Amino acid sequence: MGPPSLDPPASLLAEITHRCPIHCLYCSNPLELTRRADELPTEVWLRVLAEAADLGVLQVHLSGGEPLARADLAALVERATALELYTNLITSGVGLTRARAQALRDAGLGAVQLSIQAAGPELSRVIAGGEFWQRKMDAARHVRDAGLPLGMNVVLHRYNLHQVTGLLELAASLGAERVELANAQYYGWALRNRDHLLPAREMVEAAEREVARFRERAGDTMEILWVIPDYHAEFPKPCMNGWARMFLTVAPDGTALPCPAASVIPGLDPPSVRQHSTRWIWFESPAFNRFRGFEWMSDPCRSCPRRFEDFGGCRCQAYLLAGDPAVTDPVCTYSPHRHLVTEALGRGGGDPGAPVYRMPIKTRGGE
Amino acid sequence: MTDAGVDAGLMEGGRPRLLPKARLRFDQVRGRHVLLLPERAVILSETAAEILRLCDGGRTGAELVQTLERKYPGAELGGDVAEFLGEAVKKRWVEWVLPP
Repeated sequence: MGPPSLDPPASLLAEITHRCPIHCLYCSNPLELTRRADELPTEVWLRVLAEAADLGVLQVHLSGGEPLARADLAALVERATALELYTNLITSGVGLTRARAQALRDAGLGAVQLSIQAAGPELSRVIAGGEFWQRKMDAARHVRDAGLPLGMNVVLHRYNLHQVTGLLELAASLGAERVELANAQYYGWALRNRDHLLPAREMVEAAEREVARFRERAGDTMEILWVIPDYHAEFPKPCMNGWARMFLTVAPDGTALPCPAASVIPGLDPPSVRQHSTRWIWFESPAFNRFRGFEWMSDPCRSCPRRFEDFGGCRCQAYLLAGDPAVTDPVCTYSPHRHLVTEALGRGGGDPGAPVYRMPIKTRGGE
Repeated sequence: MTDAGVDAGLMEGGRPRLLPKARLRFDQVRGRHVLLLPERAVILSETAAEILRLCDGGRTGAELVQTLERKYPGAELGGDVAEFLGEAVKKRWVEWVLPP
């Protein structure tokens, strides 16, 4: 058993595949995507769900890639439901037919979170790298027709921040009860395309004002979540609510991680659900214990009263920007590496060259 | 904090009901009731769980209070229950089913 004060995870993020028909510029998947042949088989996912429920997980977020790319999705939902886990499907909507939406509802699916790239088809095509708009609109309708709660999430960046009002109006017209407007976080493909995506402060502030105006107008008929862009903030986000405090991520190949981006951290040596129980992974594994608590911190975090709120920020960001996952998140105004963030913000307006679209992975089946 | 909607719900004989998307259950691991919603899991106090368990759309707010007061004789729960239901409606855990 781990430290007695350690709570079990409340949420399992099950990234069941990296396969995805769309190619978003800001995709948070790692640059090295798992191939279909290396994905966990159904029976291992069924075991992971049972172990997670036993461990204390209450919710399962089925994500990817595009989770609909797996034919066993409904079987996973059905098992999770039998285990009294609340299931959320996080989807691009591509492949969510009327029949599939109803089958997932019948399997016990709790809710659907649909990703939208822009307020209209033209910009959506640019950001998603293809013609997916109509299928997304149809998917939203199928979700509502199946009687499932619909949430809409949008990653915000320089290309679409000016569309915030349009995005909120779209969400209302699709019958979404919740909208997540999340400013891009710079990991994976988003970091690769950062000079294209990172917005100027004035754009962010204008969007924030639009959100406030919409809230006034719409009251609380729709829940709106605004996730601030951390590069523009003074202090880091409490990433994942602290390393391995609430969330357990399992990647398509079975790698267990405290957060979906953590595979970039060198020497982490994350455990796999193929070899270990989720209980051992959560309480005992060196990877999950590495940045728990406050002992690993150095200054300025170590003596900072904010450490109880933000847990030192994001370990992946510390590594990706400063080259060391154990230093203060460079977003922090007290970080000796803050200049790296400030310099990235200052590069806006230059010529960043062509953006790099998330590449589809070649699979043996030739999908 | 009772907003207009709650007062109306109580006054007009509304029956509080958990929203269909919300699932209430007992969690063996934590030894507590939990309310599961699309984006969050709420670990409930015993009192909150008792009130929410009665929000089945089958009894009015007043009947809900009577049921609890029978269980806890001598307690005056009306104000607390109204306040809790107000919050629960605001958080979109519960809705009022109004009589036709």
